[in-house]
Amino acid sequence: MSFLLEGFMAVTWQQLVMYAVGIILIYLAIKKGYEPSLLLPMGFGAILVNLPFSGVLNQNIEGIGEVAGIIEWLYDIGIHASEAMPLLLFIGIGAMIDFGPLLSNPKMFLFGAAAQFGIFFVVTVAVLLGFDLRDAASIGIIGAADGPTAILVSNVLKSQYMGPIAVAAYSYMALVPIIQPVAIKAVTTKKERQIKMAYNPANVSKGLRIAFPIIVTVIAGFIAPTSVALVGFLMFGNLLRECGVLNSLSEAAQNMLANLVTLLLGITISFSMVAESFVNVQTLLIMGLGLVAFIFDSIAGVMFAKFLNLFSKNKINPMVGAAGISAFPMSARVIQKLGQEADNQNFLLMHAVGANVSGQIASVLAGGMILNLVPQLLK
Amino acid sequence: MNFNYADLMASLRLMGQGMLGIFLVMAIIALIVYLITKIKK
Repeated sequence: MSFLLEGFMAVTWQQLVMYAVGIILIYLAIKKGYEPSLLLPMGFGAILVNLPFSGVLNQNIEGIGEVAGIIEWLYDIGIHASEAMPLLLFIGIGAMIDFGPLLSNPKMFLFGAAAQFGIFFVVTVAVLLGFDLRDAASIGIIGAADGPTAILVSNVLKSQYMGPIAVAAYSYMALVPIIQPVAIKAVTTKKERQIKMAYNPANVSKGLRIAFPIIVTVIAGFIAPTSVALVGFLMFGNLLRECGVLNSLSEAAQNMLANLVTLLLGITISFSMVAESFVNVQTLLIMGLGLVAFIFDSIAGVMFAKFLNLFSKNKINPMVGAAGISAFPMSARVIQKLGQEADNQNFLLMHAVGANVSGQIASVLAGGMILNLVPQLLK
Repeated sequence: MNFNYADLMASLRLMGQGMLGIFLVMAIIALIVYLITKIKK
């Protein structure tokens, strides 16, 4: 009868911690509604992969040999070998994005760039804390506020911390409505938050909407060739949306493809949440660094808007700069809410949406830049 | 985990070159979008 107790006897305290982590993620997904499509599969996966002798991982069974486990197989094929899952998800995300508010006000492109500062700041802090450059760059990319980019970059750089990085990226994306107001209020006065911005959108032609994804892909490809997979798949999805002749494919990408890949990505990434590699001090440090990245992204966006105001006749509400992070549409909503809090006649939503979608392009560019530069710096 | 001075220098270079690269790409795209909109008008 001892075989019935083998599992109970083999469980470690680290695995018990991971069950608690899994339950917390499931709780956050269901009760708090924090990124449920990702956190719930990740939470359940965290329990699955940490059961002793779990059949979802490859096992070496005496007398039989190695037996494949489904989650380890999905991870090997879908993430480790090809980064296929995060990339396929980008097609769906690209098909969901309407770049109209950005195209009607091209100045907003710059806010997306400015709000990536937190990524690079945290890379330096992580190096100061003792992480090597590859791991530090992977940790910094949490600040892209873009889960698939974080997974892809940490996988390409072969970081050993992909699990905590993915958890931090998705958790903080969901916590944007809590993190950003604190960061923004710390660096703005009420008077600055009250600045009103007129919204006079330029007419965006269909031709420009179609040309835009092609232009972005080509320019990004020439300057940062490694970003082509990321930017290209995002823009391919957007081209499906905007071309006007592939509506059924666009809808399939937005719904079926995005949902299916999200479902599989969540449970697959749990492979990197095996207790032995997850329950350690570094995980706590990574969670803390992720928070710092989000805070400094927001602060950099605000400060850049203030800098532009020094030279501009038409003042920009500095909070719009903070919407340059990729967390869409949460960040734009936060800015609108803060604007209304400061003055109930202050409507910043469309400006913030422009900055927010620019952040989606800038975050994948940041991922591409890191993939481009880190190998050169490691030579 | 050991602090490495060479990694620190590399991370600062990454910050400078990375931010410059992102700004450059975004500025070029913004300029092209602006010019296309102007020409269309």
